Amino acid sequence: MLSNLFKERYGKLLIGFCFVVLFMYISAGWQSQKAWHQQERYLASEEFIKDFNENREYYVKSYNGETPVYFDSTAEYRDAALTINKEYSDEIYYNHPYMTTMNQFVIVFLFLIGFLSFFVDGRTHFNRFLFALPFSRKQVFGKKLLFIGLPLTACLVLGLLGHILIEYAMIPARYLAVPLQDVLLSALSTLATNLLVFATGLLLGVLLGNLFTGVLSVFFTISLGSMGYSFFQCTREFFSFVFLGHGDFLLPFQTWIDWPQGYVYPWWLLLLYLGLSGLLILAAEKVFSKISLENDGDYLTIPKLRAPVYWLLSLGTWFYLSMISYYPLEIFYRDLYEGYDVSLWNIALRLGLLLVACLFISLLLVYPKALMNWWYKRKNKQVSNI
Amino acid sequence: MKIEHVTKKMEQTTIIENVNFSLEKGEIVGLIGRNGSGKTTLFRTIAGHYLLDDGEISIDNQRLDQYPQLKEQLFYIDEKENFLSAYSLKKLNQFYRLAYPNFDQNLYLELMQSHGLPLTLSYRRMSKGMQGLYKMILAIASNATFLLLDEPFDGLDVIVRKKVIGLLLESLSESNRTALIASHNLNELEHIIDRALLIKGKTIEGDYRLETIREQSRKLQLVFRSKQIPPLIKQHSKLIQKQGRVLTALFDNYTEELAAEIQQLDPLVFEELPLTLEDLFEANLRQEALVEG
Repeated sequence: MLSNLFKERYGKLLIGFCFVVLFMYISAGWQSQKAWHQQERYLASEEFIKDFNENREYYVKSYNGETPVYFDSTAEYRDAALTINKEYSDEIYYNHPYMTTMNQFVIVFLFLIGFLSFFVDGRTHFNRFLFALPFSRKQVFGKKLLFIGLPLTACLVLGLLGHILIEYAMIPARYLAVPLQDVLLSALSTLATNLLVFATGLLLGVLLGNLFTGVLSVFFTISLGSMGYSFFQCTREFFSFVFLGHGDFLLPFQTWIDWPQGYVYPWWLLLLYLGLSGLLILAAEKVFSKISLENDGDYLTIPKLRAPVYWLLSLGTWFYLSMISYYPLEIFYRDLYEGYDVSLWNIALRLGLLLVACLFISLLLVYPKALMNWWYKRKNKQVSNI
Repeated sequence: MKIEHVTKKMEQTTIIENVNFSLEKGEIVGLIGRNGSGKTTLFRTIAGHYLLDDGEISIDNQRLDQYPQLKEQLFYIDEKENFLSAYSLKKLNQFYRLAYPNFDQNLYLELMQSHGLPLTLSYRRMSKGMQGLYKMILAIASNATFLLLDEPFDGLDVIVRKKVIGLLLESLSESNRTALIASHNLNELEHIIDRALLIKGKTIEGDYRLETIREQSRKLQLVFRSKQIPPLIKQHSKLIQKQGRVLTALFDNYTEELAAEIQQLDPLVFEELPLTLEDLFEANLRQEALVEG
């Protein structure tokens, strides 16, 4: 019964979403091979050969100390430029056909699907219908998750495989330097990242109830998430300074893989991400089971979670914004770079102001009703004193 | 269906507290109370929209929270907050057909046709009266045993109201189904219900069988020589109205002995008036403060 209800409710929309996911991966694969072939045609053209012969100094293969080493022939350059490795080489400069911005679209899209799949039913009162059905909340959540999650995951897998298949079928094998096994494992890592993002969106969709502040928080999360790389780099550098005394500690593995380029998570990180996704879904299920619909227009659908969410939101945002603005790193930069003239007081003041701003904005988001009540009481008191 | 010790709080404010009553199969029960007395909260709590703070709701002695499958015997559409506006009647039919295993599709189509409601119509484009009628058709076609109807006659013109009431009575008389109806339209309710539950002070304060009330209670108009209300009247009645020396009072347990005692007070006027549900409502709830919510 529930599956049929969900089919009526989301069927067509879900098919649309699945097509979008498939399209994003398949079209990126198609564009990638198309770019490669365009590059190949250009590198075989008279125009390129003429340019290569006339401007050999532009075609640098590597550096021997300070001295540049040039490509010997167009064929050598062509091979280097067309060969697809999983990363940019520090020494060889060439066009990488795998480069795409589609990874960001996929991530944002999956996050939004996860969020909207539960948030919309809360806001359109479909949950009132669902909660009156002869099923427990756990059953409703589980069936809905399966109904949305399974086809979406299948499309992610198909999309990733289709993407890889297009590239490996349409680009000559001798130019593909990344072993197929690595690319497939990379697709698995990408899938784990995708599921983690979907699960995060899903938890927010269950947890947030207010149309304005809930949606605002999601856009805020996406905006901050787009600076995730900066946050990661700064945090890594900060803790490297704190624990090792220098800032150049590099993690020997990838922590974020969102495109099947050949990078692979270590097995434990893969399991950690999958486990984390499972935990987020479990948390979403627990929240869903505890929703009482008198709170469905509030910022949080579970009033008991206000205090922990408030502290997590305010302190978490403060930490995140502090890191991406490099404030804590400036403590170490003062000793590292000559002329870096910033006092500790100045850094502490900026961090303090940022903390106050985060605490205040989070208070407005999480406790709007309590603040309004306090405001009205205060106003009424003033009026009654006149 | 049994409602036992049901309590619901919102933002630390108790909305309904220790609510107890039972609904037998085949009866029509009215839920009456002032605005904000907790009628809708009670409906939403029974339907599962709200989680209980205390108490339990059971059907055939099985708790709904432990046996959610029993909720297929319940039908409730929230009056204010529902998802219907987004869909056509055809699509809504699909939803309710899937949600209620005993949904009578033939009856649904028959009722839709007889009331001139095309399936292609969008719920949003219907008038309030038509929406009310449509919700009643859904309730009847659902074949659920317990129908929770919150203000089903609210905003309906007299023609549609009669249609809705006729539809409900016809359906319930043919089956062993129960309706719990909250309504401010006490005149309409009076002719439909077998029992009235009076919600006051956050709980069910009175459970009246209309037949028993008609047998036991009386509404009297009395005029005494003194402007003071005699203690006997104060003790045995609830005052509905006082205009000068003219008192209109409701006597819950009116007996021949009590009548004789009143006559001994030598009233100038002693007249029995027809007792209505509105009198019962007024006599019991006159003193209750109007609450928001």
